[in-house]
Amino acid sequence: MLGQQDSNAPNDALGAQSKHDELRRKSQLSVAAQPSVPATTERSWLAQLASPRAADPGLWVQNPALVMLLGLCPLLAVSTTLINGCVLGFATLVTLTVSNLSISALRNWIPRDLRLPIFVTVVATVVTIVDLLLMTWAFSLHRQLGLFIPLIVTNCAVLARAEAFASRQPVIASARDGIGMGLGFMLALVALGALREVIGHASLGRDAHLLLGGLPASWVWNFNSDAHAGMLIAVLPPGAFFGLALFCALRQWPRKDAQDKTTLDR
Amino acid sequence: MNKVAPPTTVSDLSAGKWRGARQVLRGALVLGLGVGLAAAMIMLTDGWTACDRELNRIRYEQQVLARLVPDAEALGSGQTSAAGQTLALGSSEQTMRVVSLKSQSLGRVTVWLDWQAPDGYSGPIDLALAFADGGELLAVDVLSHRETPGLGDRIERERSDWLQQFATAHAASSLYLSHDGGAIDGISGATITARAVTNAVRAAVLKRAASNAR
Repeated sequence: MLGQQDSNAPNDALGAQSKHDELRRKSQLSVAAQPSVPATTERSWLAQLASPRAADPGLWVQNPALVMLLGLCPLLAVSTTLINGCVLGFATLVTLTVSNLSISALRNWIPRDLRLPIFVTVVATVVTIVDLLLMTWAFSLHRQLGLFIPLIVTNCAVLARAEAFASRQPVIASARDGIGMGLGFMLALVALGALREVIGHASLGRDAHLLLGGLPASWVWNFNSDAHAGMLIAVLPPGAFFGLALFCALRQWPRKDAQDKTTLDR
Repeated sequence: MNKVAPPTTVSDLSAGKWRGARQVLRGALVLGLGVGLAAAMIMLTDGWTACDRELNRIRYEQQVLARLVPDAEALGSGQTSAAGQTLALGSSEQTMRVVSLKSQSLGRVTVWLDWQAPDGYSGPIDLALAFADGGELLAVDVLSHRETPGLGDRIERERSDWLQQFATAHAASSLYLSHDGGAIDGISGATITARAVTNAVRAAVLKRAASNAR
């Protein structure tokens, strides 16, 4: 990833001599880039997708919401209840995976200078098509999800993964990255949604019947029968910031501990 | 000697006189092609799904009608023939569709579809209102809205029974939020949404009373 950038830099300074040279360099680069992701050549794509380590970087080490602090706009706006968090998390997971897949497949045809507008176009197209298909095939689900889907376009975690990963890596690795990052984002959304619902509404799992059919209406866990129970501030925007800060601190806690230890050892 | 004139045009930036211009043109072409392709894909999906989406919308509308007037006779056949009627109320007023239904318990019921609350928190809210023959409001339902998930979406009948407040008879003069001295409880965290719906319902009730008196 870094090597590619470095070897591109002098070319830009000198000015590309001809299109042929550029193409040849590109093909060499892609060959040279292969060893940096050795796993992709050895195992089948199914094994790669299913491997337990596939989801790891996005889920914890590089969690897009809690570590990279990306996509805060939809994260803060929608994490009002557990079910809302699940729904937006799932929609983001799908969009992230599909956009990573398509950008990775197109990566050799996207000019460097124009990559950002093209990424934005791809993400917006994917979101619009997902919206239309949901409206057609899953109308009742769309009635619950429809409000969330346009929010995904504003999620810069999607754009960040396109830029940092999918535009430089093969298709399977990019899909895997999309799934891992999507799961990480979903984890943050679900945790924040649950916290805000418990504090703000004194319940857990409200509206579950809208998502899962009539069955689980009794799954809602009400701590207080009063409809106005709970601290409203947790549902309002400030509560989102409090909750996010809490989870960020919790996420950083063990790592800070480890750092302190290493400095003590020294 | 170190003085170098700053580049003034795009073509000064590269060695050849026309290289910059050519690059810009090529970029524009690639970008245009990409955007055109994206637009084509969206248009294809849109055209491909348009019919099914319209069917879904009509089906949902019938569900709403069945909720508003539970014991209506021959819902479906009577409704589809009447759904085409459009009633424009003056120039500054809204356009909505009027559906007449016969209910076993309530007699003739008039339903206004697509009555809009223009000042929702994020765009207009489409309402459906059922009136008895005498002009009193029977029930209100939401057809479509884009309010904040978790707060403003409490106006949906599936999510809370806030809308049920309109089912008990209220004089138009008390169709205000309790904040504003009326009889309707607001929604905590979504006052703007609740106020928009309440105002639209009051406007509809007044309009209906005026047209009944005429």
